[in-house]
Amino acid sequence: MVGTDYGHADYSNDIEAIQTLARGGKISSSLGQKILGDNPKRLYGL
Amino acid sequence: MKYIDADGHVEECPTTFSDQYLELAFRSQRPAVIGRDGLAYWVIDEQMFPRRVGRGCNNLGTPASYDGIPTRHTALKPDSIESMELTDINARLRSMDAEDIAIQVVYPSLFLAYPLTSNNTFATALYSSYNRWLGDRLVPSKT
Repeated sequence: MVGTDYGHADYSNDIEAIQTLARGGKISSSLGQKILGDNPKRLYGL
Repeated sequence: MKYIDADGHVEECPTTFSDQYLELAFRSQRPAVIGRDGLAYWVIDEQMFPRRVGRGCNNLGTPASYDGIPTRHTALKPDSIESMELTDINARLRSMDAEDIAIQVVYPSLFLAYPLTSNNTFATALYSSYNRWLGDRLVPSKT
């Protein structure tokens, strides 16, 4: 999963991480989908 | 593709513990915000939060301002106080849209400092006040 920590002093770096993951490259798009969507959906029951 | 932000925060503000939300019995102990050297602190049971140095220290984003003045930390952030404190839900939604975030799980900030008080009944009143306040913040017609 990814959390931005929005509101905290360090959150801008985390938001960039989301875009980096979404663009892919070092990891597969399916793995990126799990990190950015599927896993938090399962954890929070969304 | 829209994403889920599994860990976002809201910065509490004096309204969080206003009469509208804090039980009558605890209003004489209402958390207060003080400013010092460009930073701001909550005073709860004569203790200051955040406690930025020492054992068990914490570096919270709340309070984001005092007397209408953004703290030094807040002034460095790109987003508005209204977004951070959710007094303008649309401001937060615009920030989320900019990053293609569809859902943001929002956690408190002040309550990351634990314990805020050794009085369990008072602590429960603070949690209840926060819950009522946040509920109102997340209903667009009430913001």
